[in-house]
Amino acid sequence: MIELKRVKKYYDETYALRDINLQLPRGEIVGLFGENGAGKTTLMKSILNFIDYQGSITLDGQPITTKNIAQLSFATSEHSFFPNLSPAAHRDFYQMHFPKFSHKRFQGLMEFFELPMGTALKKFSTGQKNQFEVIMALSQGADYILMDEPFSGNDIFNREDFYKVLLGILEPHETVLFSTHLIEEVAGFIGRAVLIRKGQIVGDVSLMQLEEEGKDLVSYIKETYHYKPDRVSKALKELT
Amino acid sequence: MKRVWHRLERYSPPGYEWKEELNLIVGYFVVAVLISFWFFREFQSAMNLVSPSAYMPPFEVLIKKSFFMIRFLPFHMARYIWLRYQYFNKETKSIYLMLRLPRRFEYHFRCWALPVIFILSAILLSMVTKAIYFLFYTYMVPLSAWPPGQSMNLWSVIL
Repeated sequence: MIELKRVKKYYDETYALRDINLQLPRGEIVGLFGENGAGKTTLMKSILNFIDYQGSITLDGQPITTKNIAQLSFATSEHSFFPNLSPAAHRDFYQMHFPKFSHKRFQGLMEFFELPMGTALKKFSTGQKNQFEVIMALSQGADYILMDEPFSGNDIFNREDFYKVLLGILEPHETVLFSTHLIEEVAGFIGRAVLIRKGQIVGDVSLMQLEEEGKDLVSYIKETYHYKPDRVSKALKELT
Repeated sequence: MKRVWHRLERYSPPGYEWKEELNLIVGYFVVAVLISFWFFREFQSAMNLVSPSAYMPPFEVLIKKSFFMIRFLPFHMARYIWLRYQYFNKETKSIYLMLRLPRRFEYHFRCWALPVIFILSAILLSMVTKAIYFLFYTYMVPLSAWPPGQSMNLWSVIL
């Protein structure tokens, strides 16, 4: 389990994360929602130890170091691959560094998304680059897969294909933390939603719980964010 | 040779154009060796000036101008190291992958390894060249013209 206790992060005098307490057990698909600048990326970067923070983040009770970092993988819309290398070269690189790398999953996903194995990634389209980024995160053999807006730039068909594939291939011990703005799209595929606003967790709910309460994810998010439905009409009235 | 190339690739950031750098370094070494031939000119001039009662200038004086290029190499290598660190933030954020590797020093290793190898090769090359020139000096300079205080120990000269 990944456990965050009183995690704080501030840039200059602005808080990016304020007293974050969060537990991510194995086997969950968690959606992380929030506006731009809410702290989603900072939260993931803190878990991955890319940035300094206050508080504690542990993985199965141990601090995250080079000893257990291979249990975490990361897909980002900024892309973390080497643009001059081909997918085949990436496969070799991952195999060299990550002993649990799943060649079978890599091969299967490459074929499913029909990505060329020998072409340098800089020649791929944005959509293909996103797909490849996700393929590597899923094939690394990690127990915790962190994805930060992995599909910004992909079309709807592509994204839907991905959700179906992900649900089909994930093992029971694999956890996915998935940040996105596409709330309606992922509602059917996540099991839990974590809402973050101005660096604080303002909502944490399981989809089953929402279902029992007769609510849907979008209305829960709107309610938590105190969304004002008449905001637009009021603004238009003032403007016209 | 292919195996050597393959091995060297592990000493650089993945996908980095290090072969171009290698060509530049080899060119740099060739120019450095050519410049070191200045020693023979200095030697010839000194020999012409030596009268039967005079001494040859010490070996260190004759080679002073011949090995100046090696002094610039650390600056070039510092630039190469900087370029390697920059590479991981260029076009994509491959730094995120490097920082997630279980091998703790892999990220820094891939930035430092080849520049350090280049510097060590340059030092080795300059030592070998100096040794050859010193042997030439000891062979050509008559004992009567041997400068006072000039060491005859090869190691003390080249190190």
